[in-house]
Amino acid sequence: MAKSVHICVCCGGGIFTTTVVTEEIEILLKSKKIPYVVSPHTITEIPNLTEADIIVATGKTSAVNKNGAPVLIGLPMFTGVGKEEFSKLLLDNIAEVSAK
Amino acid sequence: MTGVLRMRTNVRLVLLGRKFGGSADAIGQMARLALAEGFVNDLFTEKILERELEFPTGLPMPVPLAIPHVSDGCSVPFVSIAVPESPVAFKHMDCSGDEIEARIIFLFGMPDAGGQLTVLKKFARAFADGEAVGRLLASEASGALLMELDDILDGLLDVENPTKESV
Repeated sequence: MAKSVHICVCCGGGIFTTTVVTEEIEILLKSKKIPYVVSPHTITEIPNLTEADIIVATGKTSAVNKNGAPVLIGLPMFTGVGKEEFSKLLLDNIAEVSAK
Repeated sequence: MTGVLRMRTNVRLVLLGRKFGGSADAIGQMARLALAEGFVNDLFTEKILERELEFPTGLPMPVPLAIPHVSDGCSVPFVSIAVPESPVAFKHMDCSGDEIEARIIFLFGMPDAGGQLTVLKKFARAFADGEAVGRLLASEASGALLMELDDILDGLLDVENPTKESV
């Protein structure tokens, strides 16, 4: 069985955005049958997240992860505007992580 | 728990054309309305102000808006809506320090965000719809605004009939 991809959802705005964005990501990954773990975090944690394969932040941020996990801006998953493009970007990043 | 949890509101939780002396004043006034309804206790006001400082909620949508919210001190899921006389500066949700000149404010109490997921998603979609939010801004009365919002949210608002005694 393939290893689960660990996605850290990092929010500034708190429970509202976290809840909506996490749900949307789960729907996407389930539909693609990709095993995953999603955990909630805050934007300030981004540099020091060690467990993350991919980080999704709900606002724009210039923070960089020390372990080199890509940081994607997930606001489209909140508003639905640009959701298709974001979904593709996320899946591309998962494919890259899985290929490692 | 069956079906979809709706979000409570009523005309007393809507402020139209109000003047605010900044985001904290707006949040404070709206929280007091919820307090008067018995939906929250004093802890709510304290926590929602605190949270806004740490995790601001200004959103750069087609109509700039803010969504202060917290779960502490809240027993009933509700939304309060304010259309300020002039835009109120909220800090950007991305913590960049940028300011969002909010033209409408949605203040939420959500004891259990997971249980409110369906309606929160509807709100998120609505925020991105400048035309829909524009209809809210154009409302001339609180009741009309709530009817419009309920329509936008596909009936997921639990709007109390203003003629009935509040519980």
